[in-house]
Amino acid sequence: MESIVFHIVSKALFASVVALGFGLISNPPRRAIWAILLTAFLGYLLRAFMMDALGLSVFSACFCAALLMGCSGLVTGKLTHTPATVIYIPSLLPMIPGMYAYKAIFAYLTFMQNIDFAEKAVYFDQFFTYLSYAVGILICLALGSIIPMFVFTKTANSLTRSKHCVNQ
Amino acid sequence: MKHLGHLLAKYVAVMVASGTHSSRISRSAKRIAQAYGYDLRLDLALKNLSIMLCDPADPSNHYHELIAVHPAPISLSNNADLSRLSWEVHDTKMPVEDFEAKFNAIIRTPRYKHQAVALMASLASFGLCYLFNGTIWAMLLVFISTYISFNLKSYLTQKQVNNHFVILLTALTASLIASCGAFIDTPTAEVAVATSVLYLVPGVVFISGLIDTLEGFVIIGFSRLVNAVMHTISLALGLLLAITLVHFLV
Repeated sequence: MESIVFHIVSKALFASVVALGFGLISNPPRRAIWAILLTAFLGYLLRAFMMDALGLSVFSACFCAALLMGCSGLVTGKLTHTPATVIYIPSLLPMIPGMYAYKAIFAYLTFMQNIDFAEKAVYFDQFFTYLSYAVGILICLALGSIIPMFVFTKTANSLTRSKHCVNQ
Repeated sequence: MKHLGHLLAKYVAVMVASGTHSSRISRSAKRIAQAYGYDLRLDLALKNLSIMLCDPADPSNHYHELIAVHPAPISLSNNADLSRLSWEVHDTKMPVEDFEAKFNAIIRTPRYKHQAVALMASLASFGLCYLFNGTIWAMLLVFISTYISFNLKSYLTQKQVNNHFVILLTALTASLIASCGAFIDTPTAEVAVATSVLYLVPGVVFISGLIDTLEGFVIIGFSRLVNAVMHTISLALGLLLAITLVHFLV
């Protein structure tokens, strides 16, 4: 039990570092950095918990994690006067299905280089499977994260408004 | 009116170049125009965009401008700060000169130091390799490959090489360096190569394109999605080339 908890928490901590590192490439505002770290941590924690502890599929885990990240983006966005997208886009980056994409490309290459039709069929099947996984995960991440923005439209549209200005 | 119109055209162009999704750009710019008593109509696109600022009391009194969007790196900071500025203008009704001064201060804010970003991106790739269950060797290889390829990407971008070609070359370099893991063992090389190019994935453009399309800004949304897909294809081609080369050599 302890080892699973350690495994899940350590992965979530690394995910925060990944979100910050990749996020810095897109020049996020300094005031939002803690929000990016927190959102990535929470999202990845939920994803790892659903997959490693509950044994759920990668799709449902990614969708729920992205949904949580979208909500966290709204809450922390309100606190930092930052649009939710600025917070949750970098936070989603650790969940990019890189291994599936790589395996799809590798299967495609092997399919192209092979001359035996029976083997070609196996590699084509692999290519299609991995590609479907990669695209499916990307769709789950994108949809999950933007749903809170459409549900709480009014809040999402006024996150950058400062009370200080309203009172003037 | 002309001065405000020109300023708003620049404001919208900077927001488009920064990767902000269209409904936010439209809302923010219209909010500023309304604060000064005008209506604003926008026609958004990725390369050029046009704005028309109208006096609601006298429709014949209007200002129209077609402005080019200068390509610039994605900036979430501009997205957040320019949106915040629109609320500030709306709530305080500051003079146009103050709005201009604040706008210029935001767009002149320096980005994070290049080497700090390169190191953090490398550390992020290192962490991502851990998430993909990579060995310590794979993690170190990915750190080095990201650091070198990130600097190569900046150099090529400064030399104004075509963006898709820059991505292809960067992905090729990153995955070739990561392929050195093949001298240790195959799983190490696989994880290292798969992780080495992921910092090039255009996440902001993908999400902005999707939000635009879902919110009805279909033309600019599709332009963004096509750009992101082209970017990803360049990345995949670089990776494919590297895998082919390594298979040929090893």
